[in-house]
Amino acid sequence: MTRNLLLSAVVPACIAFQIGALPWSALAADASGGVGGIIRDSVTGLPLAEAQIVVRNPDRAGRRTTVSGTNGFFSIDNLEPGRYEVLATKDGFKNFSADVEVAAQRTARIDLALALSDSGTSTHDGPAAVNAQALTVVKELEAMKSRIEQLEAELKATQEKQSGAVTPSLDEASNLAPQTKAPPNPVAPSSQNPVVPNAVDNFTPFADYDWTWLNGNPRNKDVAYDSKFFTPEIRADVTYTYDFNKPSDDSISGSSEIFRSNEIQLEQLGVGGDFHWDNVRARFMTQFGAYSTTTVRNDPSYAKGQWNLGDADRQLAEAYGGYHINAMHGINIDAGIFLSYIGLFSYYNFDNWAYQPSYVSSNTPWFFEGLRVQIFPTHHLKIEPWLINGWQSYASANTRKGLGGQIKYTPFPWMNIISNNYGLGHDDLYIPNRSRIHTDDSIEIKYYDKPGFGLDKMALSFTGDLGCEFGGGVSCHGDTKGGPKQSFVGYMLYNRFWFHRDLFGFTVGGGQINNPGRYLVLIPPINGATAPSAAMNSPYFTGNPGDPFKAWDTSMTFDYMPKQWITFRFEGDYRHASVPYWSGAGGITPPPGTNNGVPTQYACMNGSASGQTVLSAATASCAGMGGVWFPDLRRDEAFFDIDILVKF
Amino acid sequence: MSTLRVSLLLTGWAVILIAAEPPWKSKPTAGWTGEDARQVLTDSPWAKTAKAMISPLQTEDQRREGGNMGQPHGVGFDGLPDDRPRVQVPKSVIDIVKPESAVPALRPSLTLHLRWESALPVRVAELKSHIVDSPTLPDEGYSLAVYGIPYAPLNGDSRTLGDSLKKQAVLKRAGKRDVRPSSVKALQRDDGLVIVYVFPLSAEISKNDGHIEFDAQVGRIAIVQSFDLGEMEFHGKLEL
Repeated sequence: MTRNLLLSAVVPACIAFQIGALPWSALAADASGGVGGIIRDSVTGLPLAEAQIVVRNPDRAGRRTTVSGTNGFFSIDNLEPGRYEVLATKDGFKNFSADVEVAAQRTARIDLALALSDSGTSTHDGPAAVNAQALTVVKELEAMKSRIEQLEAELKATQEKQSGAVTPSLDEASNLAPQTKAPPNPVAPSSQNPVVPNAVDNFTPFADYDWTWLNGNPRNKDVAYDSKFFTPEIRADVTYTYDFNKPSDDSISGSSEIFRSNEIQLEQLGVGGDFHWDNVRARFMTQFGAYSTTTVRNDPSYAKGQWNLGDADRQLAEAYGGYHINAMHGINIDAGIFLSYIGLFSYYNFDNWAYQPSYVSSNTPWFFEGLRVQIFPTHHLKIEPWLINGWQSYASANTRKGLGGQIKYTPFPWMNIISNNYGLGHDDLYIPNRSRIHTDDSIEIKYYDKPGFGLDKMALSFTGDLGCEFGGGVSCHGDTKGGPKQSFVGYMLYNRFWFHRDLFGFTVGGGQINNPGRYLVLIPPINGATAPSAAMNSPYFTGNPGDPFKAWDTSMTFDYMPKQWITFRFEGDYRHASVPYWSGAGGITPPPGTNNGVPTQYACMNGSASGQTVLSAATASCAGMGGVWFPDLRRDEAFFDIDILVKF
Repeated sequence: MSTLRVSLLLTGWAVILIAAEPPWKSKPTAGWTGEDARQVLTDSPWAKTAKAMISPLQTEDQRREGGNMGQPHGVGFDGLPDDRPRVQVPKSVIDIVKPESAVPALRPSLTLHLRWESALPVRVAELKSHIVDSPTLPDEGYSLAVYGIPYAPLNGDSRTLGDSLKKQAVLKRAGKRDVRPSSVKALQRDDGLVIVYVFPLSAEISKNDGHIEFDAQVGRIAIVQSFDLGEMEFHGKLEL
């Protein structure tokens, strides 16, 4: 029975279906066909008479032509089946061609709409005309729109009649349809699809890659806490340093990172964060601890005039406010106290590859106060001009302010280029006409990056600095007219290795400087000397024009980083200077081990001030007090430090 | 018997061939069913499902280094997962020095739907599906809509927001200059956000271009989706 049904009904139906599916032109291959249609104005839709129509088969020679009638109609018969190109031309209109399939014993319909040659208008479909099939679809669209309006009107009438309820909106009505209004909403965020590449932010500046490997940048990858208005930041930096010179007064000189020997010291407790609301912004960070004294004493500017800015600002490492403009990739205008970042290393040791950086950085990584504008033309480039009170200072040491700026460029995910430049300012206290220029340029390259449990990353940083002072009795090149050479040449090179997925880090590096005139040499705090006191007189370590100073150093640093918020650091350093500079066993504090309050004068062996700034006079003055006291300064220094660095 | 086998075989092939042909190739639009229209709108050469990756949240230091402060809010930022690890209070001294997990976290992703709203088959299918408020802009051009961006309040004019998104979207073609959108608009709808990108007709996208790739960034969401122009023919014409 089943077999009979198969034979009698299904098979004939299938055969009929197959025949139906065959192209009918195959059954009448020897018959001819034709093409015809209406030529219209694409804008008005009116028929166009006397348009010339050319029909040609690209595979065959010859062509057929005709002209449209007054009703725009044209027709060409006796064409062999196949694909033809129909070209319509008319003066004042753009030419238009379309392809049409001519079948045997049929007249293919093609309507052409010509656009005015000077109209300059087009649709997203490209040429102004549409072929017959497309016209059909458009007509159908119009019909469907009408139909939907009709249906919605009926639906509205029905519902009003039934319940008198609120009329459903168009959206609600459409929701009744079986088809969804739009594609379904996304699924919940899912795990990573290995086929899809990781997202890269190609708009936000310096957000396209992971830059936490950079020297001078914190390595945190996550935020401990934030809110829409405030993102807090807490830093703690505690160090134990052991100086092998064993200074009796525990005082270390020549550094802006280490200050006391054989003691556990709080370097900095930083509490602060970023305030942000709309485009208004502000930031502050405290520097409770040694920094509040040891950094401020390197700035001579606040000694000019009144109000003691050194006391006013000493607890603040950063404090500024400003406005963010949504132009290009961002523009910021900020004013206040900023970190200078001259010398690549950050002021904050947590961010650095080493605790004690070389002189190029250690002699400069402080702050400036003034106005800065950050411009981000691209997401790889920052241009940051500064108008500041002076060279890394709270105030202006003289009347002329400083101009400077930073350019940061990250052309590749493995390269960072920073250039800091400064000029114009008069920065020597009590020397009004001495100008300073300085350039500080760094490059950082990550040349190996294979995350794993062995050696997983290697990178190097190189910084070169050039600077000089001129005027006020010194010159950049040491000519006899301008005065002795007062310049700064320095470099430092560091290489860092990361192991075991950044659990361990090892840095080796060092640098060298030559700074005749010593204008960027950190004044040893002999008898409490500071930059302001040294500007008046520094009897034991002078900074006069022509005073030589050359130095080099090297260090090895090992970091254990069990969490991104904490680093345990172990470092060994060796430093050498061409003149006695480092604290020796005798220390740099006069007897009985405290300052006498007059660092500008020679001290006597009993600790009292001699009242003299000239050695011969001091010798006479101290004759009855055991003679003149001298600090114990050495040319070499070796130390190690153990540090705990925390940053949230 | 042999004839029967041949007939069955041919019939089977015919059925398979017809069944394999999608509706936009095998049927006139008048014959499209609701399912056909749904397929055009969700899974066709003009409508793709894309898995967009979500970039990690930046730290405040990274934000500040890039000239910003605070986490960004708005379209493409709000509504996304915040899977950052938080500081854990150590339970013992050992806990302080104990290394945290070295296994990198999985990057989250998001499923989005992209649709060429200006394409004729899409417009037809939307009408078939009673979608008469399709997300189109008055601007003339190739119009691509992105569905599925998590809800975020649109602050201010949506076109202002679109201006920022405009800089972060591009159509790429082999051997030709990238095409930037002429206008972008974020539309808040009942079923979520839709972002509409309009690319200028002067781009003259043609079948000869082979493929076009849509690359866009919407906040933290990175979208990359390729379209086969050869497949985007409708009634013998390229439609997009």
